[in-house]
Amino acid sequence: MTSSTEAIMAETDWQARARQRKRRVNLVVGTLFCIGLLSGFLVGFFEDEKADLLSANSIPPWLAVASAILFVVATTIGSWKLMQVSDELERTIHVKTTVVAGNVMLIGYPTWFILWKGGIVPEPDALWLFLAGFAASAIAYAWYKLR
Amino acid sequence: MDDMKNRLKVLRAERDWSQAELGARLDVSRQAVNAIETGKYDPSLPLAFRIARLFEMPIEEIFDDEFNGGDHG
Repeated sequence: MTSSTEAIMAETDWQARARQRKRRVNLVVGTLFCIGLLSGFLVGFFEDEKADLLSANSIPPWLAVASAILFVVATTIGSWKLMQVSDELERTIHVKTTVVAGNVMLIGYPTWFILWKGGIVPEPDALWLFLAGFAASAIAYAWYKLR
Repeated sequence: MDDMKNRLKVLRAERDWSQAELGARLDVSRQAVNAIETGKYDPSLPLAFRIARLFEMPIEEIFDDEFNGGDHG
């Protein structure tokens, strides 16, 4: 085998490994996306047509339980698999963004609560706290990736 | 946080490797190599050892924490 052939093979080897790494990450993210899509479709299909997004008792109990179980299992296994296929920089960024999101919610709720006690703001709302944590996580992720 | 300097970019250039190629050899992403080269991310000890083994050099010849003003001699 000539040295040029070896060089081409070596190049193919590292490119294949890089592609394989990307494929593994895409597989996990794609699977989680599909599960989320399926869950959203089922909720939308069975939801009471007159109900709005925040209405209680708008989907059958079996679907609520199934969706909750699916969400917990998918996010738990998905996060674990994602940590396995990601490299250490990506893992570090995930940990940092989770800390940022957690802090926003842990600091946000007591702050909102004490302001509510003072009659300044409405009662703390779990959905807004979740959205604040989610937004903080997304902003932190973008900052760590793009800085 | 103290900045850690390194010679990764120089060592990579000497071998005419791209960031993606070095990343594949180290089993990390191109972004990780870029972050290490630009000093935005300090690699873990296991990754630092992998880098040292790949370039067949002691770790302290690749990474410099400037603890002694950068003088390890």
